[in-house]
Amino acid sequence: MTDSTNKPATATPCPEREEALALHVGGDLPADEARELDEHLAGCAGCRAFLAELAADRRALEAFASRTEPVQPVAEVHRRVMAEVGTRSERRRSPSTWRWAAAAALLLALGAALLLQLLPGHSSPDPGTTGEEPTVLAEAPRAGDEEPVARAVTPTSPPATHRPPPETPETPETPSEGVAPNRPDAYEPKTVPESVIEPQPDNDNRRAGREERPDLKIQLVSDDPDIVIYWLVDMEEPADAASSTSST
Amino acid sequence: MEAIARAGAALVDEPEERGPAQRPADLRIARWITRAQRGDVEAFEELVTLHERRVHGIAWRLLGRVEDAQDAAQEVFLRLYRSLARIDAGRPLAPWLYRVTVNVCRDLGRKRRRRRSTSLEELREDTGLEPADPLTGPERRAEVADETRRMLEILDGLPEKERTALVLRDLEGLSTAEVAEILGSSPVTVRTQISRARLKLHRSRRELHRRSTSQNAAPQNTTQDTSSTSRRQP
Repeated sequence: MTDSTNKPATATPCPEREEALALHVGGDLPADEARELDEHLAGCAGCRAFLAELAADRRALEAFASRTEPVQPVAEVHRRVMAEVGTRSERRRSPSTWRWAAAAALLLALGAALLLQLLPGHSSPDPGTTGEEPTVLAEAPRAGDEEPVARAVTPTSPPATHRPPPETPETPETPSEGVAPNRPDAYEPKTVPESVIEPQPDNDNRRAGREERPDLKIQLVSDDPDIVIYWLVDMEEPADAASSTSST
Repeated sequence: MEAIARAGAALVDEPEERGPAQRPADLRIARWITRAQRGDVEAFEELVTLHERRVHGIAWRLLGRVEDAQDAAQEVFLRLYRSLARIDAGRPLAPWLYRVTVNVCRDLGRKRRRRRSTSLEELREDTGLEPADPLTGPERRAEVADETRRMLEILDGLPEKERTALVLRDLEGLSTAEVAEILGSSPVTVRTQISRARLKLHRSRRELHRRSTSQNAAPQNTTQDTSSTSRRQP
């Protein structure tokens, strides 16, 4: 047998070092073990000779690898594979057409969803901001709220009745004083039949009660049903009142 | 509308990039995989072209005959085609391919009796082996063929797992960690298999050298090959 070293393989290593030497020749020993083995090799001729033989084996393997890389058989594999795949792919058409259609349908669906959001009647009721509300009653700040939200009460609205269970009915005397018979329910702003006064961007209750009304009842509501505050605004104030901003 | 459709198609086409650590080659392969998963045959062919030499090389070195290696490589790529939907485009494809190659070769090797080329002509036909230097004389060509045949015999005589580990590490140049991933073993186990394979390779070469030395000393019959059949070890 010829190899690049032309030496007979006769080295005798330390038996317990054989596996480590076999790994070391390919650089497969962990670094600390490699260092330790190198120190041993410095003083052991048998292991050094054995390592050299292993290195010759490795060169023979590399030569074998470089000689034996057939090309034509690979081309044949390629041809066979693509012939088989081509047959299979003809059975199921490329989905590129439906891919475009699916992408277009998705975009249309998203656009339709956006349009629906913008249509009137789909916005969530917000007592302080819609034009439907004449004015607002002030709500006590809830957790997370920064300022009271005012809700509207008009003179022609029906008497206030607290329909939702959390909203406790007001004390007996308060609803009757100066309250017009048709006050809306404080918690049902949508039932307010007409808007007399424009909603104000701020929630100032005094501005909410405009001069056109003879009097105005403002009801403060909160999450606590036991707490209800009514504020009656007399719009026909005597001339010596502090402010004559209200109009008759 | 056209711009929106293009943007939508771009979102559909491009695979999600996994992070800055991916090399451009990896991203390119990931794109091919994604396109092949959608039925793009050309993209699948790119994947085949990129990996076929290595797959075939591993198969040949594990099985020993070109015909068997071709069958194995073909099966590997057809399995890839059938499994495309399950392939993760974000992960390297090569370890998956090599793992399938090892499995296919193991299955094929069990079904077929391993037959080695016994003559120079058969070996050349099997390997496509041609001397690198056309001016190489017939003696040198015979020597090269002889060495090649011996190496194939030695590899054939190794236990299957050790042979596979040695082929992947020393002939294909994969790292120990890559070999461990392909074989589904730990790096420690792979290192043990590699070291044992190298030691057996060494002993086999030494034995063959001793045999050929003693044959050279006696009257020669250079065309004889005493090891016409190979034995498989588990």
